[in-house]
Amino acid sequence: MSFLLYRSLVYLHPAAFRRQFGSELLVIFEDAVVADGAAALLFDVVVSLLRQWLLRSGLWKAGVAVLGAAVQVIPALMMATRHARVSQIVPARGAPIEADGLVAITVFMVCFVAAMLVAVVFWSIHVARLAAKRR
Amino acid sequence: MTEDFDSFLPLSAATLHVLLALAGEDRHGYGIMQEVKRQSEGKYKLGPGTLYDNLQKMLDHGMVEDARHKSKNDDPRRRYYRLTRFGRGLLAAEASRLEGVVREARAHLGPNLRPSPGAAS
Repeated sequence: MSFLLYRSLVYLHPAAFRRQFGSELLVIFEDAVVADGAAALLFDVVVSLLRQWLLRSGLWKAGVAVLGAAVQVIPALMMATRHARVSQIVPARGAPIEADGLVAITVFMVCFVAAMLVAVVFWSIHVARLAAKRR
Repeated sequence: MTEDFDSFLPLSAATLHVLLALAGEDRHGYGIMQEVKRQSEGKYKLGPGTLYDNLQKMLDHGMVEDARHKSKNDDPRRRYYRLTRFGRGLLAAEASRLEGVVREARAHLGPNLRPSPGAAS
């Protein structure tokens, strides 16, 4: 039962790591389970799973990029909803555009584009590194 | 070459122990874990997750490489690892750095570096 659970947790590792070390991790479980106990080995493989996905796979970079985007977009969005009602954002034909609304929309758009750029740059760096590793 | 070593120093405890475990002979993963346990008198315990995370980095940096199986009866799922020339040089550079640390410690604490009983409490 514990071996089945261990094998499932090994299987959940990123593909590159699993291909390189997966079978060895299973052999070590068979070797070490009597001396170290299944609980210690299961704890170790859970820590390894988190480490491989969160730190080594570069997923944290995507997380930071999304967080950075949110930090920029959310205040701009709050400003936009505070200062500009929908009627001001999309004025009726021929009606004068109020400066407040226009500024809010501009700030929002600039922040949104900047956040997306940051996210795309981080993501493309991550993808390029993965491709280089595979080569 | 020294500059290459400098960018890796000081080594993490796990990397140092793995290099040290492979300095004597080629070993497989479980063999490395057991050797680390023996060398540290059980004080440093390396789990398989930490071991393979470090081995991956060490393979990428050319500190260790795959080695041949020792006998035909070995489990084919096992992989053996051995130190490269670079890994051996790096271990020597770290050992030399640690010698300097010990020398400094002796200069300040005296020749006997064993902690006195009750010092930790």
